[in-house]
Amino acid sequence: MGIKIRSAELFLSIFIAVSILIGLSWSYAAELVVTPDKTVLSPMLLKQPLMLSGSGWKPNEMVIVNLIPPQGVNIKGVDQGEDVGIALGNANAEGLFKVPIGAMPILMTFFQVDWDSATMKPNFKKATPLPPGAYDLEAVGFESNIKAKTTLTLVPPPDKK
Amino acid sequence: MTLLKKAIMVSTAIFLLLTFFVLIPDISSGEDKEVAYLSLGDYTGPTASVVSFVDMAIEDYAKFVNDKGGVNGVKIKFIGVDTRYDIARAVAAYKKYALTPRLLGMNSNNSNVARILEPMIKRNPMPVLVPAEGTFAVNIGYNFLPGQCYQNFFGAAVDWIVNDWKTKGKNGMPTVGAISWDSPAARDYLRGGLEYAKKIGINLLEPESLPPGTLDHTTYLTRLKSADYIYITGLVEPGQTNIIRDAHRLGITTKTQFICDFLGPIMGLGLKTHAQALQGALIQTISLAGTDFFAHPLVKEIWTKYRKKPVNEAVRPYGLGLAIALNYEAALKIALRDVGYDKINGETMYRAYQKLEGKETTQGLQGPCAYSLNSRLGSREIRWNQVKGEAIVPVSGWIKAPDAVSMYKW
Repeated sequence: MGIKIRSAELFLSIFIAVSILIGLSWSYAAELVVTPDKTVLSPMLLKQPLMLSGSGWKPNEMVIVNLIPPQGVNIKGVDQGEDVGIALGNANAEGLFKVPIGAMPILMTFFQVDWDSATMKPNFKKATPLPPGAYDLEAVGFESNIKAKTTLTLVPPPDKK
Repeated sequence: MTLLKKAIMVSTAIFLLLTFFVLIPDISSGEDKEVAYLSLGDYTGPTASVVSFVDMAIEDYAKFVNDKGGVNGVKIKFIGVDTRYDIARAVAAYKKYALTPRLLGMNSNNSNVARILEPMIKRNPMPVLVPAEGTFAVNIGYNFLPGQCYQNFFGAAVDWIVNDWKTKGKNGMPTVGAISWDSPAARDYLRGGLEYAKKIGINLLEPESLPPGTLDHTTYLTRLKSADYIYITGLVEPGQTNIIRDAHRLGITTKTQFICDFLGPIMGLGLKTHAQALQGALIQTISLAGTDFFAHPLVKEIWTKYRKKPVNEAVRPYGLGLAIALNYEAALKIALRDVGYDKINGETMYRAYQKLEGKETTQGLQGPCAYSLNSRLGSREIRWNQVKGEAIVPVSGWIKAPDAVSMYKW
């Protein structure tokens, strides 16, 4: 009986300690949305960019959105499995933010173009586009470290008839 | 004591222990002492031809220092990130690495990245290397230029032009053209440069700005064909070489002296291909160039040892990278002397950088260092070089550039 009480005390102690730690690191419920959340990877994304929007951040803080590559997907310039920044914006006074995924991330991370230094233009001939699949996007508040996730699905291009 | 009271006491103890081990900075035991340097490099993209070689040099020099036991036993960890000319990537990489223990310096490699990160740097201070824009030179803060700023380069070119004009026995003032990329950074030379040109009295034609990636420069060069001298600035290679190539095709190089800024033609990067067109072109640099660069003992030693290639395959930005690394090392020595390893941080490194003024920190790769309480210029001196045959040869020693940047109303 004494041993059971001591075990219970230890379990309860650890539970309370962990709860306090989790509580300290969590003070907002943030949300991230990508619109549209399914798309073909095409040059149209340069003209009609994907939009990222979110809520629940610290007022006026910078928010960075990272793409988390799935297992087996290599992204140029980073180590295997490493996150890559694809957008950044500032939350407004209400903690809301809205930002497009700009041309450079689309070219450099999604299409993974090479660069033709002779013409100073992207080189699509050596591009290795991200393959179709589901990609987690994670937004992080620069100061608060508040995080929120969503999923962008790259769908295969339609079959040419 | 009740179960709940015991639980609260024990959990408080566990919480305090966790806090101590997670949040308290590690205190060195005297082993594995290390400081870090972060480069948000563009190894792919428009500036890769410069940035990738600069970072190669810093990485190699860090290895060189570490192989000899470090700086007073403290090793340097180089962290290079290929940000692919993408601001979001660069800022995300900064956030990822910002809390690296004893991160004592960073290269932003991009003016916009430097501006975005400025508030964050103020919260976690450290010296940040930035491109050569005048605003970073005049606003004394955590941003440091690797050498001179664009407007002072232009001022130095104006001085050279007037001296050359008079040496040739010509009367009045020369007509000067200027051409750059059409971007705020590339046109920055005009903020202070215009005022300096007016003060000196040269006849400056309407400056030309062209979109990056322009393949044919005929239109812009035609508008400048009356110029005795044409200054090219703010384009990375092969941009400046391509302009002179087109000028040669149009016959302009027979009567017009072309002058390139420090981003201009580089031996080993296309100069041989266009050597005939480039003959006589002047290039101003903030570090050793051409034959002097290849002959420098440190360039030879570091490049051949760590790149395992003959030194004639090295390129000029590698020398600038070595200069940057040497300044970091020199500041680190000061910071370690001032506060010791356990107390060293970005702020102490920042103060150390400002104690480098007048010191020959770069073994002759640059002029004397100019970082001080009142200066963010890596060095006030520039050097003139000229294309002769298939080589770039120095035609001057280190010359102090004029203070054109202060003439602009910032």
